[in-house]
Amino acid sequence: MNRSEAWALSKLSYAELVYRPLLSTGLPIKYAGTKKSVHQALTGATLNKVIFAMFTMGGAVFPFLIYKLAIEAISLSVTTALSIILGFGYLVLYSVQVLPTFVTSGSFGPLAALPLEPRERSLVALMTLWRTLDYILVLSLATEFATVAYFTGSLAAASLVFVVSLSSSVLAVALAIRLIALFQNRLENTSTRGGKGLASIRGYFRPLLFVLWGLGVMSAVFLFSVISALAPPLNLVLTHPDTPLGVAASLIFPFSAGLLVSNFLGFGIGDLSLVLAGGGVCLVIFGAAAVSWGVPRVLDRIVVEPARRSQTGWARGADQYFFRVRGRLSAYVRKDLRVASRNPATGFLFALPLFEILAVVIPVTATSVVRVSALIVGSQVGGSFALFTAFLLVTVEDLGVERRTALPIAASVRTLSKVLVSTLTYLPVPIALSAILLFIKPPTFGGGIFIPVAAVATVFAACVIEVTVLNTLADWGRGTAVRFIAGVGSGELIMVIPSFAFTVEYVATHDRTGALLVLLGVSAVECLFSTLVLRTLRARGSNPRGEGLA
Amino acid sequence: MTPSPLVEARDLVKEYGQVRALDGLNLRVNPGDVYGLLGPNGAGKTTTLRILSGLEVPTSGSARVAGFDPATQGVEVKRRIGYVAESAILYESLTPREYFEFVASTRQLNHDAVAYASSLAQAFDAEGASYDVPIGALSLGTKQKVAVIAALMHRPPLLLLDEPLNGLDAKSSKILKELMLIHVERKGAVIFSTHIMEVAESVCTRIGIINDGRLFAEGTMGELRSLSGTSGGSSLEDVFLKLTNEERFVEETLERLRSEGT
Ligand SMILES: Nc1ncnc2c1ncn2[C@@H]1O[C@H](COP(=O)(O)OP(=O)(O)OP(=O)(O)O)[C@@H](O)[C@H]1O
Ligand SMILES: [Mg+2]
Repeated sequence: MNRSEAWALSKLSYAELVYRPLLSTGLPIKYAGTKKSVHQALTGATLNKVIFAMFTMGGAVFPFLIYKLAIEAISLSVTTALSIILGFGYLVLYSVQVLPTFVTSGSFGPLAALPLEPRERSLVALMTLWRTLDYILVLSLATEFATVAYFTGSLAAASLVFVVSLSSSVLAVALAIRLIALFQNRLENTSTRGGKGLASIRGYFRPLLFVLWGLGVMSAVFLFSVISALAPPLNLVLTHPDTPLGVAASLIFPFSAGLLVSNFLGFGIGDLSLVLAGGGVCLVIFGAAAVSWGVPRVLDRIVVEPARRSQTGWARGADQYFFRVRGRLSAYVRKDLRVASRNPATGFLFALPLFEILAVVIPVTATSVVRVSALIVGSQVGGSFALFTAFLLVTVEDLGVERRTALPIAASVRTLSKVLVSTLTYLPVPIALSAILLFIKPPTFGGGIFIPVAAVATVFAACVIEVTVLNTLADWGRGTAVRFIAGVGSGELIMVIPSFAFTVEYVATHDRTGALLVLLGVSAVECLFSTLVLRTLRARGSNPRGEGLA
Repeated sequence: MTPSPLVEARDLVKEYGQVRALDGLNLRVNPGDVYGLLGPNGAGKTTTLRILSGLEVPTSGSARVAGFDPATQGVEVKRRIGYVAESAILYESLTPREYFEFVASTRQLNHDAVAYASSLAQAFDAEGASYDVPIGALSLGTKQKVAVIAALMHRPPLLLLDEPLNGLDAKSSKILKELMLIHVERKGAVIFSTHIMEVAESVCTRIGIINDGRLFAEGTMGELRSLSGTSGGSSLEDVFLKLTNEERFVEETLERLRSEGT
């Protein structure tokens, strides 16, 4: 088999990869029953990729904008490093989300049945991987190059960043594949190891995944506050190559690349730093080259030959088969939590509260007194996490089990479950903020303590609206990217309204208490509105079209 | 007096884009019936069962299942049926125990029913050692057993089983067939699709043959035999092929294949 044949085959497996999950959701497909529906699915997948590519492009440009506009005191080396890190984080985020379908959809099954050499199969799998990431990689690398060239005017710097970004992209994809393979292996080994496999994921694998996801989420949601919090210490470290921390930082690839870029532009960085940075960049390039050899093999193992183990049963008494019956909603919530915690794309949800607290607490404590605006922004940031959680929970449900098994579950239960889990992930924010206000730093305005608490109601309402929008769009057969934007967007809108009302009232009257009352009132109205939406869902619960709603 | 039917479908039409999966299907199933749906691949058996279980809305026509309209009262219908899908659709990351817990809680089973479900699981020995292993790692037949147990555990009046014996071993097939018979003795009804003629012949009280989205022959084994004009001893397979006009096709094709092979 030559390369062009492999390329043609990979087109088949890619189409399969895109189309199968769509079929399995049981959602209405446009042009169902014709070949056009496959075409439609491929177009949708391309749109998804382009939209995601825009995120990565934004991530590449954003630090440079901050640098150029001098919004924060941030050095060029840190700017470059952040830009590369964001690209890395987004790519891991995307791959961990998308690539599991490589494993679970069985799209490579037909390929495994063909008389192909293992090397040929790996080649096809690799080319399929490329087709899955093509726009994202091309657009983000081009943007990285163009951004550095534009903001620094140095072609050498741009080329260097390009090579480093390319290497880091390879590493990001490899890391994602590794993570998925780990999950996959665990899932399969459980049968031979007597049910311990999933537990050990919790042990050593989860924390790593959390960090990665945290990176991605942080970059997406509160880039700005992180930059302002991280930039000064990073600047300090990078300009002191004589400290152990400085040596380590100069060797790590995004920072070493940043240092080299500064050096190209005539910011002297000292001989030691230069050598270390050069070493760091070489290290990552060699690392990526080495890893790219291994990727096809890992891919092949997790994709083409998913092991299947047979079970040998042994006789047990009926009481061994016993299980508990719980309340409808609580059983549903447990199911959501279990499914989410075992999926590589959502496992991080359980570490979200930690990141939230960091994200909220760092900016709030950065100033000497806690201003009302900081409380509002903190609540908003925390709420964005909740919206993101809801989105992921719904996306996991897209596997469509409920649309295809005839279980009597009302749409309101499905929605409420996702909303409750998401709202729960928000709770640490008001708790952390209240603790700060009560024990560490008094607010400039005593009533400020109510702001994060009232936000619980708003977050609840925002999640209800978001999940409803997400499911309605899914029923209409819209793609993931469109759902993400419309769903999370409408949730954000609900969340901003109370703060907006507060601001308007305060600007008009300069009366904080009045403005706070307005904020509380608006939050209450939103909460009421969302319960009305839930009631409508319950009424619609008996309609199969409506039931798609959760 | 005829008993009020558990299932009644009138002029069901289902279109997927340009494909007409059902083309005016009529169906009536009474308590006490084991109704076998037979038909060539793509005839519309799965589509029929999905519409009856409220998972799909017909393009036109109407259905009543246990007194409810599956198109508008899906949840009510789903309370009263047990549905086994064509290919087992389960949460692959849950273990069978966790999945049963989820299903039983959704249906709010009482203690007796849970005991029954546990006995079912034991009867099928669905999992043996794999009761606490993610469903994704189970074998095809074991997954099918999980789906079957989940559909039977609440002892619904109506069972809609889409090729339920798929992948089941001999022992489990036997148990499931017997369970179907016990079920109708208690005035329940079963509609199940299958391609295994011997099974249909041995357990069905009535058989419906679907082709191109229409029900075009229906009755007991004896009625179908006389309808097709085949002799008394002929098997359901012969009757089926005769009725679907595929007898000649099969003979001619085999003749050609035989001569091409030499
Ligand atoms: N989601 C869908 N989109 C487009 N066409 C569909 C869809 N589902 C079913 N069909 C078409 O509807 C027709 C009937 O399919 P159905 O699955 O009901 O057949 P079946 O009798 O169950 O066949 P089999 O014996 O192979 O299971 C087929 O032509 C099929 O291609
Ligand atoms: Mg079928």
